[in-house]
Amino acid sequence: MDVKTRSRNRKRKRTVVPPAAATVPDLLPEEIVVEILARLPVKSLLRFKSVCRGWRAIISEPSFIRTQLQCSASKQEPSILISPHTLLGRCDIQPPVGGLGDWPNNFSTQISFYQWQRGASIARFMDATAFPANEFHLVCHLAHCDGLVLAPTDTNLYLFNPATRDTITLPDGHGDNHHHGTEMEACYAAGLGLDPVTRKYKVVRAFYRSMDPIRMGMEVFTVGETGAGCGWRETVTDPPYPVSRWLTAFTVNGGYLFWYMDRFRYPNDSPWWPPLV
Amino acid sequence: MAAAAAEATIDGGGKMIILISADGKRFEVTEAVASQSQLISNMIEDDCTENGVRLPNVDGDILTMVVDYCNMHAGDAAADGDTTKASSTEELKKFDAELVQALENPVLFKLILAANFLNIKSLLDMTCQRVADMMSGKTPEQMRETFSIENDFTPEEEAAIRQENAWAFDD
Repeated sequence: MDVKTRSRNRKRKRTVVPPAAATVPDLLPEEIVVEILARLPVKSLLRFKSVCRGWRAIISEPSFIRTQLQCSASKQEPSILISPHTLLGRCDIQPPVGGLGDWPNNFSTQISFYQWQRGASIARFMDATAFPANEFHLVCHLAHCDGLVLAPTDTNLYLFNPATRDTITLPDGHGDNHHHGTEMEACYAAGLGLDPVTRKYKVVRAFYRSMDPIRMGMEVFTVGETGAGCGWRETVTDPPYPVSRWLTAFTVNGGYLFWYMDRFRYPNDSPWWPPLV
Repeated sequence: MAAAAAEATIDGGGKMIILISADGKRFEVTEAVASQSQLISNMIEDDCTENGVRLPNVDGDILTMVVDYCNMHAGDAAADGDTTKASSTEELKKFDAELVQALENPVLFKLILAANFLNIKSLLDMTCQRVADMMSGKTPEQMRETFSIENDFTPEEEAAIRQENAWAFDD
């Protein structure tokens, strides 16, 4: 971390030079408090939001959150985030049209997360959210970025931050009827990434404009934006090929998302058409 | 002082400079050792260390620790490729741990301030991490006590914030 980035103008500057017998608060200027807090785990920070207004302001600031993320990523062992898919019971699986393997359609509406850190003997519970029964029936492949998890389902897109145990249900997008075609196409085609310019997380979703001819559009949702103009915004250009509804997009550093092309809906319908764009 | 600085001779390939603490204690170190402080490194570049470097923010006992730390770490900062002089990583880790382990909060905080003022990134990093490690399992009340912070929330506000993050208060 660069020291320069941390010094910012704040109203509550404290004395830097302490008299010998000074008590602690006079000793530590806010930039140092920020330095220390950035090295704490998320759970402690959530607790320390209730220490005072100043600390709550620091802990809630986006630049602080980024610094904390860098700190914890650099000092911790690499870890794996685990989200077990739970079914409500045995189901008769119909082979999906895309031939992507069997996929059940009676998922539990409880979504949970565990973290396994390299060297640990067990995975640690992080978060579980119980959605109302029947709110969704299918959970598609999850997308991940910096500890955030996007869960595309057959009814909604959900975004989780298992470390803070925050969950949001994304608003409905622009007029897509998500039950085109077969049931197995019911999940949203979506992706999650970090915009390196604005430093904001974005969810991107592909939707059908029409089925005959096949035309798809894309829309973007910026996480953490409120007020006028927030919500889904369509991209200027549509994707050149139809995107597979079933497969979640990949995120790559630098803000790129990679989508699977829907070879069955590609105009030149060929079963061996390359599936990846 | 001018005389003392003038006496400082070239030794082991490094020019010597004098650091002077708030209470007037003097420390003679090589430029290579002192340059771990970005502040002093800049002063060396600007050629203003001739008469010794006065550090009015840093007490002698704190500066002793800082100088010890810089002497110990001079090897790794001086030349990444040159491992002949550098202390082994193991040794450094042990030294660092022992340096901060025994310190009471007020002294540790002073060391943090010195590291910040002198701009020694690795020392700042280590000392801040030490405080964070001590804080991580504590309650907000303990934090207010440690940092002498006044609770400026109304009881209702505080209850609401705690409610939002209730799980974080579970053991």
